[in-house]
Amino acid sequence: MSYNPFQVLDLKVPSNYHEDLTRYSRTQSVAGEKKNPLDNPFDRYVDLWMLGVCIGARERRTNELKGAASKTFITGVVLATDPDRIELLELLAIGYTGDPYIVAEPRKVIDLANGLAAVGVPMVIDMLKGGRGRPLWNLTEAVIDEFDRDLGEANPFPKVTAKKQ
Amino acid sequence: MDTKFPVGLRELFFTDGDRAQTWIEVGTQGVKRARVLNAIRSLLGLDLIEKAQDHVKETVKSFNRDLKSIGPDTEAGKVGDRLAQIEVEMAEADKSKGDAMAALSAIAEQIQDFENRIAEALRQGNREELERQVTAANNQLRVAERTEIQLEKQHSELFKDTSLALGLLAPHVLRARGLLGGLKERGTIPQKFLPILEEAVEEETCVCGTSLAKGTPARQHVCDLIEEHKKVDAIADRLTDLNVLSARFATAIEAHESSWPVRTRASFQLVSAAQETLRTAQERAKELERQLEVLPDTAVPDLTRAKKSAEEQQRVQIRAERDAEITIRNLDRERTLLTKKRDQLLRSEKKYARLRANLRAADDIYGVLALTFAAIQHGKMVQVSDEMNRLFLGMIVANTEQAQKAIIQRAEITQDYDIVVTGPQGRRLDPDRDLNGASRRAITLAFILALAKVSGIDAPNVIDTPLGMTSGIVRQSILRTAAENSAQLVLFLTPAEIRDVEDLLDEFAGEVWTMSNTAHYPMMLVNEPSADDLRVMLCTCSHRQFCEMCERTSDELNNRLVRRTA
Repeated sequence: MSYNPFQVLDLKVPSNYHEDLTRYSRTQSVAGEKKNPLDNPFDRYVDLWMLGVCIGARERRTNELKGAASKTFITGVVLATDPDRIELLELLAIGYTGDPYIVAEPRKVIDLANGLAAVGVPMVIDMLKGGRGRPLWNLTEAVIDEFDRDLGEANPFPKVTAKKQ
Repeated sequence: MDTKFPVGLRELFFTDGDRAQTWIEVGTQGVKRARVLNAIRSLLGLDLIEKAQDHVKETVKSFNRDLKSIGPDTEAGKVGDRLAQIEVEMAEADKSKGDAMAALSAIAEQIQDFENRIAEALRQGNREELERQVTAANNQLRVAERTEIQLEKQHSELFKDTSLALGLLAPHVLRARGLLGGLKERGTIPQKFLPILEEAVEEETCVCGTSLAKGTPARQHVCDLIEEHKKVDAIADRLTDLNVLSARFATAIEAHESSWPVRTRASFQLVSAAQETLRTAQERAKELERQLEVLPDTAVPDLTRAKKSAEEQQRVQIRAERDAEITIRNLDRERTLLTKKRDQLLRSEKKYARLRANLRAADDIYGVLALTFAAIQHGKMVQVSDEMNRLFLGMIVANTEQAQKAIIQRAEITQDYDIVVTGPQGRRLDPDRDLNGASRRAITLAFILALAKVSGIDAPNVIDTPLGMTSGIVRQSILRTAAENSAQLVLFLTPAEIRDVEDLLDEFAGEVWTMSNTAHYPMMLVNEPSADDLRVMLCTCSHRQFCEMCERTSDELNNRLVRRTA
């Protein structure tokens, strides 16, 4: 069995964005019909959550949600399907806190990730809804912009224009 | 009409310009010869001689039968009976040959008609081919749809790819790498000093020889180190792993080509190309469907099948003609031999003297009639041939002054009733292959006019669309030649044919009328006809006028035409 210190810990999103997890991921089919990637860009809830964590980390902000303000959508067992994520969450926690030994306390790592997701997930939802294209293209454009922000004038790549539908 | 025209010549006085061309070029060599021969025979009007020949044949036949009655079991009787029978069989074979040739002529025109209709249908579009294209376009469309969906799904998979998180978390990952590197530098990881330190404390001597006796500061320092190492022991392996992993991630962060934005842009371009392909496929399928909807049911396959069937019939009739020809030759050979034998037998016995004299007289009469017929026929053929040549060279404006240089030097009818054209150095040109459309039309019209002229029949030539496929000076000279060499010429001309011959029409036309088809509104006619049904409307506009009834869409801008007011 692969290493997963987070398997019993809850992964959470702000309660008022929980519906969006369903809306923008393909985890659940609608009336037996498979969701299409254009409107449901994420394969699973955890993919959206992970992107939220990353965006929150870039913002260097966390939001500690308590009680009903957050909602668990799954436990950390899901992370075992992609070991890179477990390692990235640990490295993120080390880099973010400056404490290598935080990995000894998985709950703190996940609390940090949930706090970052609380900031990042709403931003991801805004990216999906923003623009005039289908969600997949809105998100593509917004995330590339996010990278371009780092590159500034030196960006050697052509700008992606989201498809207007 | 029957009193005015010989039946065989009737179609020559009423000529469809388009059909006139096929009249000379469609069919086998035998059919073409038969057409020319029949036309000349009809022109001769020598029915009386032909009937006389038939009477003589009948008489000879009865003489041969008489032989049998004089001596039924004699050899002469048997020969006579066979000769009479040969005449019957010969007539049947002649009829079969004639029927086959008539059928071949009709089939050849039928095939030409199918070819014209197929060509016309193909100009409008081949339904079968179009349906194939629609199917192919729909298949391409389905492939394009599947490709697009697949590429979109692949694109969405990029949002769970490690490279995305790695790119966005790069600052934190790199910082973590620095911190872990520090632990390594300090020897905190990997955990390898703890057993050595514990052993040194136990032995109260450091590996460097320093005393680690109880209460010494050195011992205290080593003990502190042991405590720190013990603290990280549980996570040391993990931190060691993370240190290695962070090095791998750091390398990945620096690898530009595999970074998430680069891969995403490449994916986006693939999706865009697939969408473009899909759009093109959709438009193509839609356009083909539209073409198919408006395509009239031209039934090219049906026409092709009908043509193939006609070609099969043609082969059957060609075989029938050849069989009849072979039968005729065999019968002719047998007749010659038996006639010789009969004559020998008749000479051998006196009782046949009278019959022999009768047969000789009949043979002489038949010979005279045949020679007379052939002489007249040949003479007329030469006249028609010369007249045709004169008219044809005039029509195509051949260079008669420098005849050596002319591409076409002569047209004539041969002894075998073939119409042939001769080029420089006596080279024979195939009218079907070596003459252009205008020259083929000209030679046919020249033959028809020559026949009419040599026949001496004073009747009008009525020709529909005589100037199609012609232009310029050839068009003018065809019209002039036809007008100057007809007793009366009635032409049906399209507006396109009138172009460039207006002056000649001024010169030769006694009466000019304009005929307009109500079906041509609104595509060609400007004004809505008063009649609702399909009909031809007649007005007195000349070739230089138009009126409300016959005005065509381009007439107003045509400076050769003027509006005629009632």
